[in-house]
This record gives sequence, C-alpha cells and structure tokens, in this order.
Amino acid sequence: MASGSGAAAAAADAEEKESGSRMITLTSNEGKAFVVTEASARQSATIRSMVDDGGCVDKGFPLPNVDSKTLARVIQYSDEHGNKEPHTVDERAALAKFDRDFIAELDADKAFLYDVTMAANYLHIQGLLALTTQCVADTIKGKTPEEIRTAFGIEYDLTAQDEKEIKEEDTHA
Amino acid sequence: MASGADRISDLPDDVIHHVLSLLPSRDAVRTCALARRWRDLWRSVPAVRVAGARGWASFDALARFVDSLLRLRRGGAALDACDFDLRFDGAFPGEELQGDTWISRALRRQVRALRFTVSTHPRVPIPLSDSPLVSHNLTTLELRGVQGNDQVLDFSSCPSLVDLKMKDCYVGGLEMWSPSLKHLSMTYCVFYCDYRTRMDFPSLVTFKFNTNTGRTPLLETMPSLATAAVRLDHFCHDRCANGWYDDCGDAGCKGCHDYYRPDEYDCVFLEGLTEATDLTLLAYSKVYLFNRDLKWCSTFSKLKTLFLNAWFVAPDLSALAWFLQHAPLLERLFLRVSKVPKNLVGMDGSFNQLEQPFAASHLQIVEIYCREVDGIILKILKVLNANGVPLEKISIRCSGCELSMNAHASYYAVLLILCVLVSTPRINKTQAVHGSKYVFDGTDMVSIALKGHSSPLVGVSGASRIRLFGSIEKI
Repeated sequence: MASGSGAAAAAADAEEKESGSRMITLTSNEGKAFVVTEASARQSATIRSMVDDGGCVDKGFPLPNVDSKTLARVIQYSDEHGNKEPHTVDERAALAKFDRDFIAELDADKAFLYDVTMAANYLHIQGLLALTTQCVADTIKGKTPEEIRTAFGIEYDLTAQDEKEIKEEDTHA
Repeated sequence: MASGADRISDLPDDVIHHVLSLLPSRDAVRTCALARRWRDLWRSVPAVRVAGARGWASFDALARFVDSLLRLRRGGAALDACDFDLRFDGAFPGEELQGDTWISRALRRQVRALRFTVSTHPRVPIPLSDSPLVSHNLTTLELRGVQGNDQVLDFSSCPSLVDLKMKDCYVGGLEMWSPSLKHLSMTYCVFYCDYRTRMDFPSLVTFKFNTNTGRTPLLETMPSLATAAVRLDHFCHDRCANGWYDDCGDAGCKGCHDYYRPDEYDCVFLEGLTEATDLTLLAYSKVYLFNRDLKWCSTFSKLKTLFLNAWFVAPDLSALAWFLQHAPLLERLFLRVSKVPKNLVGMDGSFNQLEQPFAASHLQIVEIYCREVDGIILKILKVLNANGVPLEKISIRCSGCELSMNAHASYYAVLLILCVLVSTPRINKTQAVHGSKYVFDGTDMVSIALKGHSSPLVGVSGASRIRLFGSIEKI
C-alpha cells in the first residue's frame, strides 16, 4: 500500500516535472521562504538556468541579495507574467494595465524602485528590468540636472574643476 | 521629493548605461552634471539617439553635438544602436552630405543597429554619397527619406546585415544586392519609371513590399523565403493605359510598350516568391503584373497560406484557378473580392489549364470577404468546386449587408440565398438578408427567403448552377 502510493507520488512527480508545474521555494536574505510555481520562477533567467542544469529544486533557492519585501514584489510580477500567457487582446490589455499599475507604485517610492531594479538585474528578469529602467529613464527625460538630483536625492559633489571641464565640453559640443 | 537617500547612483554601470540608452542622447549627456558618479557614464552608453531637430538653436548646433557625441565616446565601448531621427518643418537645412558623415562615423564606431530617417517639407529625399556602406558589425539598417544609388544599394560590404527597412526613399539604383539579408521591408519607395531594378537577396526569409511607386522590381530567386506580403497600388507603373491585361500593342501605352524592356525577361516578380509558405498578394485591379507573371511562373510548392484581393477577379478568375492547380500544399486561402472595373478587357483564352485538376487535398479553409453578394461570388464558388474544394470548407463574410455565414452548417441554404439574391435583382437584398440574419438553420433560412418572395423558387430550382453543388432536395 505504502509502496503503491509512493509509486503514484513518483509518477505524479514525474508528470509535474514534464508539465513544468512543480513548485519551487525561493528564500530571501532574511530566511523567509516563498513557494512559487516553476512557470513563475522561470521568468528569472538565473533560476531558469539553475533548474535546467538539474539544480537543487527540492532544497529551494536561497537569494542572499534580495530582501523579503523586494522578493514579494518581484514574485508578484513573475506570477502575473509566468502563470498565464496572454492570448486574447483583452488578456494582453489586462497584462499591460498590470504593468502600468505595478510601475506606478514603484515610481512613487524611488528607493524601492532601486531595490526592485537590483533584484531584476540579479535574477535576470528581462521584462521587469525593462520596466524599471524605463521608469528611471522617464524620470530623467527632459529634466535639468537639478531636477534629476531632487527626484532621486542625488547629492551634488562635483568640484570646481569638474564644473569647468563640463562647461568646456559643453561649449565644444 | 524622493523618499530617503540616493540609491539610483548605486546601480551597477551596465544598468545605468541601459537607462541612459533609452534616453535621447541630449538627456543622457546632461547627466554628466549630476554628480561625480555620473561624470563619464554617458561616454559608454551603448546607444546614440538624436530625435528631431527642434529645440536646437540651429542645425549646425545639432550637427556639432552629434559630431562630438560620436567623437567623445569612450574608445572600445560597444555601440548597439544609433538612431538619427531628423524632422524638419521646411527643407533640409544642412549640407546634403552631412547625414552621410554621421552614418559613416556610426559605422566606424561599429554600430549594430543604425536608423537614419529624414523628413522634410516638401518631401525631398536626401541623396546619400556614392560609396558603399562598409561594416562587419551592422545587422540592422533602417533608412527613411534618403536617395540611394548603385553603390549604397550594394550591401555586400556589410556581411552581417540581416534586417533592412526602407521607407519614403528614392531607390535610385538598378541593382540591390545583399548575400546575407534575411528581412526586407520596402514601403512608399520610388523606383525608376523606365527601368526595372534587380533585387538579389538570396538569403531572404521575410519580404514586405508595400505601396511603392514606379516599375516593379525584378526579383531573383529566394530559396529560404517563408513569408511575403506584397501590395501593388495605384502608383505602380505596371498597368495598361488601355485597360488590357495582356500586351495592348499600343506604342503610346508606356505600361505595355516598355513592360519587358530593356531585357527580354518573362516572369518579373512572382518567380522570386515561389518558395514562400505564406503569401499575401494584393494589387489594385488595373495592375496586371501578377496576372502576366502567372503565365511564366513555376509551382508554389511550399505555399500553405495565400491571401489575394481585387486583381485575381479580373479578367476571368483564372489566377484563382492557377493557384489551386499550382500550390499543391495550400491549406488556407483568403479572398477579398471587390468591384471590378467594367472596362477591363480579358485575355483571349485563359492560362493553360491542367488536364487533371489538383484535388486541393490540403485545403482546410477558404474565406471569402466581400461587400455584397453578387454573381462573382457564385463564379468563385464554381471555380473552387471545379478544382475539388468541398463547399463545407468555404465561408463567406459579407460586410456590406452584415451577412456572415459559414457554409459548413448550411451550405445549401447559403447557395440558395446567393442564387435568390443574384437571380432576382428585384428583391430588396437587405430585406432578404435580414431574414437570414436571425435564423441560421438552413431550412428556416430558405423558407424565409422563399415565403416573402415566392417567384425565386422557380428561378432557383431551374438554375443549372444548383446542380453543380448538390441536390436541392437535401434542404
């Protein structure tokens, strides 16, 4: 009986492996575990290649560079994009709206935008990185240096020498 | 105001470079004045983007900016993309060859994707200098609003080039050639009126040829071609002033008189597309190029999807029959039917019909789009039927009177409705069709059509064409 159910479980496991519907555990640097679908995890090229190389799917993946708050937000993105593939015009529009809302929230909190960008870069989640870098670019676009410094809280540390050089290059250009 | 301290400056260089590559170069360069961390980041940004000429004191100021932008870049930094998008409210203000300087400088900087577009009012293409583009890195090139020449259009010195887009360009050359090109799109380009440009792209996979002017080019064979979408519009010079589909013999008709000159070629264009699996051939109904080419063309042995419009109807639907007999693997056929000009003169006889028509055995679906149901639809059905296409694979979508029916469910009824509509012009077509809109069951639809108009029944049952498709008793 026990061996029978074991075989059944193994079969189910093999089937899951086939369909890519396994669950994968991601652990934040604070030790908090997040269980996600493989489809969601595969949004990350980093994790995808570890899974495909036969990595430790059962033990899960520790992510020492990502904190829990950031990881939760990244998973929110990956779930939306990984778990359902948009087929209809409506589904694509819904996904585009999700992206807009998602980035609008990050845009309001530049420090968190930074954390999510770093995580997307570390995990190689191309779509998410494109979204966050575009958001940073949009903030810079058309603004004076002073306005950009204010937007990101950048501290002005140029020396008189720097200023002189910039001015010279500017008149050359 | 930002929440907390600066974090953005802590992003790795490659992420910041990516951010800056999304920006117009002017904005990217300006970040050098933010802080020390940002002082030199712009020099290695993998993209140069210059959009519009507005906002610059003068064109010279813009030219100086672009010059120093390319000059001051850090030596070995890769340049993924160069995008020059110049729009002027009036004529091109600079020296004409200045644009060239930017192109060649970008090529020297080993750019991979180069876009150079100019738009002026009035629209005058900027001539490119008479020398070939040379680059081992260039993979993607987009040109807009420029005039080419035989030197520039010989892309053999760009061995990595795979993607070429040309829009609003004067072609200005007798030959276009690239051994590596895989994707070509030409839209609103102007070819010579008197000569055919030879296009030789042996590696082409996708080909888009849309609404260009002048003589349609001579296509060389393209063994790897998968998808081609062609639209020959009103401005195409390959049409007969006298409305003929074959040589009208009139020396005054430039279209016919110079058609095969100066070379004695036979098939001009379609032979180059015979390897395609997915083909869209659209032409203004007076453009006869496709019809003429079919006389010489060999079999489309890989074709699976075909979309035809107005041109195939005139003069006698022989183009439709031709494809049914020369595309043995055809799976999906889409036909857009529109009114045929009455003055078009047919050729004497049609193309050589095969003795044994192909049973179009792979054909899964035929969709016919039309504005209204008229005699031509019946003729099309007849041609399809004669070539072994079962009617249950045919649907007709009629936008003019909101008639949309799938022949699969009730094709006898469909035929009857068609016959009723065609054979009795006295009937108010809208009325009859509205009846059919509500009931899709064959029997009811017919009875509606017949209840209101008892006379058509005689006409229908007596019509010989009904026998083509089956017995009327089945209804």
